[in-house]
Amino acid sequence: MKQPSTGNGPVGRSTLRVDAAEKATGQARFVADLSLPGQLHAFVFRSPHAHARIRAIDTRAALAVEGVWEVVTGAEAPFVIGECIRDHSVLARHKVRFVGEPVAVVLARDPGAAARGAEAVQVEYEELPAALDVSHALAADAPLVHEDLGSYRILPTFHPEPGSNVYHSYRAERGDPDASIAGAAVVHEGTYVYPHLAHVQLEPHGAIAWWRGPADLTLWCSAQSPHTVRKVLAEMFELPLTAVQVIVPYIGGGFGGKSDTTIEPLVAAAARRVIGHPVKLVLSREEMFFGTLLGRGAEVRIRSGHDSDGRFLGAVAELAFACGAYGEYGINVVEGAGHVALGPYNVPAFRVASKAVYTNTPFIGAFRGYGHPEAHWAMERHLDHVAERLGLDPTELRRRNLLRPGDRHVTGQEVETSHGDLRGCLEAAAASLATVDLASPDPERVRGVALCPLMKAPVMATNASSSAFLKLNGDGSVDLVVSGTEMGQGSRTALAQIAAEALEVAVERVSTSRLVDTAVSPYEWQSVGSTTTWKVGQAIRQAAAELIVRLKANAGLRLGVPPEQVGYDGDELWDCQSPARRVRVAEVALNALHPDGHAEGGPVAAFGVFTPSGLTWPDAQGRGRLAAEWTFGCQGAVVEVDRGTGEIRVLKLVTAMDVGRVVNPALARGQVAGAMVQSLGAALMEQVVYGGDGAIRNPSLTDYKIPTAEDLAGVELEVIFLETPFDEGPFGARCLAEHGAVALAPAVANAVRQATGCHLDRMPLTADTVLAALLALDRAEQERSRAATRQGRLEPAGV
Amino acid sequence: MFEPYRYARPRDPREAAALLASEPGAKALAGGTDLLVEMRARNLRPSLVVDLKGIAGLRGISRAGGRVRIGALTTVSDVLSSPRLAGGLAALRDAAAVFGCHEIRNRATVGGNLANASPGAEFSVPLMAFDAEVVVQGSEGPARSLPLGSFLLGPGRTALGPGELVTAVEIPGVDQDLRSAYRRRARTRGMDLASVSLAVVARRAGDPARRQVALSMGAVAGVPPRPAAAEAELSGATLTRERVARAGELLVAGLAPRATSLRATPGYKLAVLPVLLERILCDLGLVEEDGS
Repeated sequence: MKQPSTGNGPVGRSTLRVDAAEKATGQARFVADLSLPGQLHAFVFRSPHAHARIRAIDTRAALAVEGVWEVVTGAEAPFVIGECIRDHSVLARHKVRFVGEPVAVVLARDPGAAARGAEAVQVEYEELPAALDVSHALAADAPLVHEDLGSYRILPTFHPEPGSNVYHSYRAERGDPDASIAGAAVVHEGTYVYPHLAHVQLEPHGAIAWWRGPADLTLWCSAQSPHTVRKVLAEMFELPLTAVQVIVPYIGGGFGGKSDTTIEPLVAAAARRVIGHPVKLVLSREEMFFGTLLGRGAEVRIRSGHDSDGRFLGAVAELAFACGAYGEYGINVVEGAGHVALGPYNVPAFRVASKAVYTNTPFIGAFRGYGHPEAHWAMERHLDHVAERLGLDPTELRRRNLLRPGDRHVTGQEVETSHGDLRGCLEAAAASLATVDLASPDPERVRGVALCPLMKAPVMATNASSSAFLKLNGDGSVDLVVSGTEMGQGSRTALAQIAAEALEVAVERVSTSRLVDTAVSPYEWQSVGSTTTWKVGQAIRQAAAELIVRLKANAGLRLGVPPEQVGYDGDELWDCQSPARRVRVAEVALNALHPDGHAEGGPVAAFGVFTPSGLTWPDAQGRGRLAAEWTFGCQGAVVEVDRGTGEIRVLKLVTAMDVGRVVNPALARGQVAGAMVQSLGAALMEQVVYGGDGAIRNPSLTDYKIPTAEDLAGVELEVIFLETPFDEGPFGARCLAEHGAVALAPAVANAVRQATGCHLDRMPLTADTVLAALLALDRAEQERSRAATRQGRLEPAGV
Repeated sequence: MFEPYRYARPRDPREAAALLASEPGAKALAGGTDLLVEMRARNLRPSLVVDLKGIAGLRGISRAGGRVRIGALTTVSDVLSSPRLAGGLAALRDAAAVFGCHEIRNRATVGGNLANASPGAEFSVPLMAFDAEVVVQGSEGPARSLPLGSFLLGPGRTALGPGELVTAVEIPGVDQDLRSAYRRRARTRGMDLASVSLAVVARRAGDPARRQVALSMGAVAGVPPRPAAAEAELSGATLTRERVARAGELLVAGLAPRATSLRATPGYKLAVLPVLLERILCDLGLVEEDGS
């Protein structure tokens, strides 16, 4: 498709987001706000054990609690889900595999009665040894989280290792990395750790399931991907898709934590026992930590060899993810991390293995970056060590290794000029950071700077199709109906801008649907991976072209000329042979009404589709067209470290990103800035902490800290966009959003190293860990100087 | 999910005390920033909630001679904005400034903060160093007063009897020559609980020979400890860097903070307290620079 864009249209403007007023005034409605007549409230009874056999469940006392209607266990609702690997009982059967796993759902007339009922559920467990972290889960004598791994239904591209906890891996190799490393001037090996994180969306996960009959389900939920929820539920209940209607209103933050399914199968399964009664479940803040899915949780070992100039000769990267008790949602994270395990660098010989490992912890899924932040954390920290070993400026080391057009990265895909200007991003970020004075006025505080380049692709199904429906109204306004969900990212606004640009009308003429209803909204694979603007935008452009064709047909009928002879400028249509003969768009939007009263044609509407072109599954060497889009960028940080307390103060953060074309500068900046701040939280303070029993010790905001406005006070935050057009994106736009989360954390850690000399390879960099590292470094230096003094006594001076 | 409970709003302290004594499940409510959190978590399920906010006269800060009295229902925001707590009592404003967030500061009370008896309670730490006294009222008889050090018994435990409530806290010996400051470390610059904290109170601050320095530390023991040896090192003498460093070592000698804290490791607390001490003493202008 050609990319007609005048530069004066709606694309490229900071249009005020269309939902700003209703969100600011509290009129926007979320699932938790909804109630239906006859509604029952659900409370989930959860496992207190990380790994145990269920001996018996007694629900009699719970059923006797006043107000309790029904108690549903795995025996009554024996549903198993998993698209890639069918390993997940919606309600635990026979075994529990993590603390917090649903064992029973109590349904009652009010939330209090449901909670009291849950307290009365009696379960007899036989505790089993648990695999709580990834190294334990990979050990030869590790307890098996799934003994039946070998018998699960899997997709053909899946590689489970029955008899172990490894349920999938992505592997890629090129050349002989061991030989290349053996001949290197500098070899470094290190291990880099990214803990489990929680998404901490503002809105808790909610769902209301209403069975009107045994084959008629309507479900309201806070899910990023309504059509995926529909498919999973239809398969789970063995119903046609038309029997499952999924409605998603506004979502209060997703970050991947509401992609695929979370609580929807559980609520729908429980509600099926009380046909006729809608069942509502809204998770508490605490339950959001163990009752949905977590993110990250990676241990990465890298061994690399470099020549004396710092250029990569070879590298071996082994990534292992603690994916939790069920496998489905971690897969794309593990794959995505494998694809970029070597960063945006040209590595001539390599071996990459990225493993998905079952652990007796809550399962992980997408989290703003799909494995890319984990991989970049590891490689960027690793290169910081290498730069120090070489005595080379860390930025210069990166310059020498950056991917160039024509190079091939891990997936075997070739870098093309149209993928964006990686080097330009690095230099833009470097220039931005150069404005900060690195001399601290306080001798107790030391400053450092670092930058980390990045590459990012959406990780998705090879057939991740999108569609869009446009209908023209009688006044010339346009309804845009899509299934890309609005979760705060601003898609309603950006997609309206793309439609308006394609239709050559003012953005105010286009209204994007406020909610998604799978019964009426067209198909969308998922709203994940920062792909909505790109994929849905492309579908909209096709629909817009079709809409104009149909509009010209009506106008042709009205003007009595063939449609090819009709001109169009967004407001009017005319006879190109006789331009004075014209009609307004509104006049022919619904039909062609002639002066004598007879009418022809009909209402103008159009449908457009998009499927990313040519994606394949990886071959045996891990190669293939695994991504239809790549975005390059560079992130950097300037920090100040208090040597007395270990406290890190961030002075400046920068992101330079080649986004192809900025659709809405304010929203684009908001997305990147939000991702930067979320990553800053991961860098400095966030982590899920487990006790020895496998229970999360900090499932609340009291002890799971995220940055607030006070933490950002005084932080300069710069976002720079480069615009190398992307041929397969709407008006040149490529994916943008979670990209701002990819390489910020290592930039912060590397800046801390530059300031203090301390290498911190495990996130987060709490004041506690920084101070411990500073003290250890001081002790080591004292040791060295004592040793040097002793040495000095033995040897004659002046030698 | 709150369990059902009854609610009473008494008008005077004795009536409140009688209600609190009337049943074992009675709980006092002031700002509610601790009680409601525990009720929501279903850790506390009171049968009767006695709301103290209807009691007149328990909110406000007054001074009589050298004694400053802070009513139990005085909010954290009141402390922050009170001109009476400037100058020598600045440690209380330092504590108020980092307490919770705006919303919590507007609700939480000084009396509630003491009665909740958290080892890292923002006000307990400076008030320990001020030798504050807690005024307690039962349903009968006059109010009694006891030192904060006797009032606090351990995490969540106080000397309050079943039918008693805190009505005020009093600070003795407030004069022109009093200096104080409170500092803490927290994991974020936004809303957080203290990882570790330190209050310094100097009486007769201007005269090194007669100066008395009191110290108190938060989040290192069940009750904020007063390190006598460090206090002695800093009292009655010119404060050189060396002396401050020695006091820093004495400050943490024998401390054994809980290893299971999610907010900071014992090693961090022990390493940072001497740093905080030195910085506070410098900020208060009590450290003699070399050669001066």
